[in-house]
Amino acid sequence: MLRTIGLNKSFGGISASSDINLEVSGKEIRAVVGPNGAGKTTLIAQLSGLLRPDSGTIIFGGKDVTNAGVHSRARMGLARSFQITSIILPLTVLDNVMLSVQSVSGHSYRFWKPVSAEREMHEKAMRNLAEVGLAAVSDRVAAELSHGEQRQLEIAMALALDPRMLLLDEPTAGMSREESGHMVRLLSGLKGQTAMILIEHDMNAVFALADTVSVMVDGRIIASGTTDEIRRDPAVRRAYLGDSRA
Amino acid sequence: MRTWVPRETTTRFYLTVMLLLCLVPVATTWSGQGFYLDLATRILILAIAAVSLNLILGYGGMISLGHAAFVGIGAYSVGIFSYYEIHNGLVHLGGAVAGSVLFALVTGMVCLRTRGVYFIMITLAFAQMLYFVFVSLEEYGADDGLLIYQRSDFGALLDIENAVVLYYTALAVLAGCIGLVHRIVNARFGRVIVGIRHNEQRMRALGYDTYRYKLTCYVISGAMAGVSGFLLGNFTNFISPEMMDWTHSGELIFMIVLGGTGVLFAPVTGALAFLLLEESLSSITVYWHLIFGLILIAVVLFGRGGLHGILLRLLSRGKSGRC
Ligand SMILES: Nc1ncnc2c1ncn2[C@@H]1O[C@H](COP(=O)(O)OP(=O)(O)O)[C@@H](O)[C@H]1O
Ligand SMILES: [Mg+2]
Repeated sequence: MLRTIGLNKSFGGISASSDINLEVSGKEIRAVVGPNGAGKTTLIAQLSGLLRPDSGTIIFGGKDVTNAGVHSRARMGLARSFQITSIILPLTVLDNVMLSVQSVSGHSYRFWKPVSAEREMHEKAMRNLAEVGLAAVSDRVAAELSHGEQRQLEIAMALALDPRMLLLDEPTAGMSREESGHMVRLLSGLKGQTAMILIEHDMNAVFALADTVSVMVDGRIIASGTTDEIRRDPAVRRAYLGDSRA
Repeated sequence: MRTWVPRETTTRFYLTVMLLLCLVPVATTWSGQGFYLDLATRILILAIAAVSLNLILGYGGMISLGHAAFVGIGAYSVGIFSYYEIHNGLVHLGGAVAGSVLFALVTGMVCLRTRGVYFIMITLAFAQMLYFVFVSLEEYGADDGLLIYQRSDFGALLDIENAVVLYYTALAVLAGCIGLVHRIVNARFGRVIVGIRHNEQRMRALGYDTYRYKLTCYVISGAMAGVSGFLLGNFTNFISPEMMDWTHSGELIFMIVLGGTGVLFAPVTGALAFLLLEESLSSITVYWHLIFGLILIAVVLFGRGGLHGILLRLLSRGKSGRC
């Protein structure tokens, strides 16, 4: 599904990605963990097309997308959420998801027919909202939602694109215990539906959701494996799990 | 708390304004005040330009300070064809639209690579470039401009030499443009444009090639402004590079802000208020620019949402007073 070959990216003197070789197949859920500043967000940015790598190749769905723009990667089925929630605040919850649905249901160079008359789009958007548990607030303005609900909305927008792979950058960041429990349940409901790269600090969530884990430190992937292998890996315990439990 | 005023209520208000505009020629003919018909015609024509600017500025968040260039192109189409004794109205109109589409396409491809203050500066720069191009064209009167001796010819059915016919033509075009913008912003395309205005990064992540959508919107808006220029050339019987000056672009922005940015009919009330204010102040005192400026600043600072915002507050106050 997704493969990177020797990705490098540096900012000034800081190497945010060095020699990243990553392979995520089928409907795999890959967690990427690592301390702050390890380069996780920078990796997602390169995968989604927001940043160009200095060198290396990104292959998605068998195609070289290293130089493809953000929008064309999204069209190919690579959907994402942002570490800082990115939704369209002044629009209603429903209208936010409608924009996603609209993006994958034909072109949008239509200037005459009102969107309100497009029943199927409306129904699909409502199904996506029901899936994340926001159907009841579909008429609310997105800005009025709680932080947790806004993050759910962002997931709904990504899901409405019918993606082949989801890139989620800390979906539970800043959430209450209850909210993040809800998010983990929501994401585990997506298992087997789409591949996922999940950046997450909460190791309980990682072990609950992920099939495989990659550990990043200082721009490098220092270990990759199944959740069990990573749990046991002494180098990982020392470099990462160790500190977080100290 | 904010009281909610139904969209229908404000729409009814604006439709009443449009209806009153239909009666202007009746009133001016009856009272023999031809001057006011002229003023009203000018208001309508500038309202068309403001409606077109509102599409990119109000809905799309693209603050162009070069919109008068399109108006100038439309007017020059009338002037230049007339200069060569081609009076066919469809040719004039076609030239106005084609010229502004071309200018929008070429300049838009550059401007829309930038955003924020850079976008403002580059639209301004392109418009000023065009201004100086026409200043240097001796053939078409350079900075003195050209007189138009005969208005665009649409045959006997639409004789715009007649001031009343020209007025109603402008009113019909204005209504058409408002209708078009209404359809566009409620259709898929308009939803995308509004989405881009609020969060372009998100729209790209949803798979929209935002640059192309913005460019298309910019071209539609430019074409519409070109049509208003076509009417303006016919109305004034005169064209000059001064029509493209950036101060006129600034005035169009003011009309929109005055009316209420991103509100469908606001450019109409904005243009009405702007030109009526200008007219009445300039007849009272020579220092009218100063007073005019102060009033505009006051509306922007205190009349949040412009005249539309004031209207909403009046309506909701009336309602809470009753219960
Ligand atoms: N746009 C940028 N400009 C300069 N440095 C950056 C930029 N983005 C990230 N960095 C640096 O790259 C490193 C990795 O950052 P990031 O990918 O955000 O880490 P993480 O998401 O793992 O916390 C950090 O040292 C950060 O300061
Ligand atoms: Mg990060």
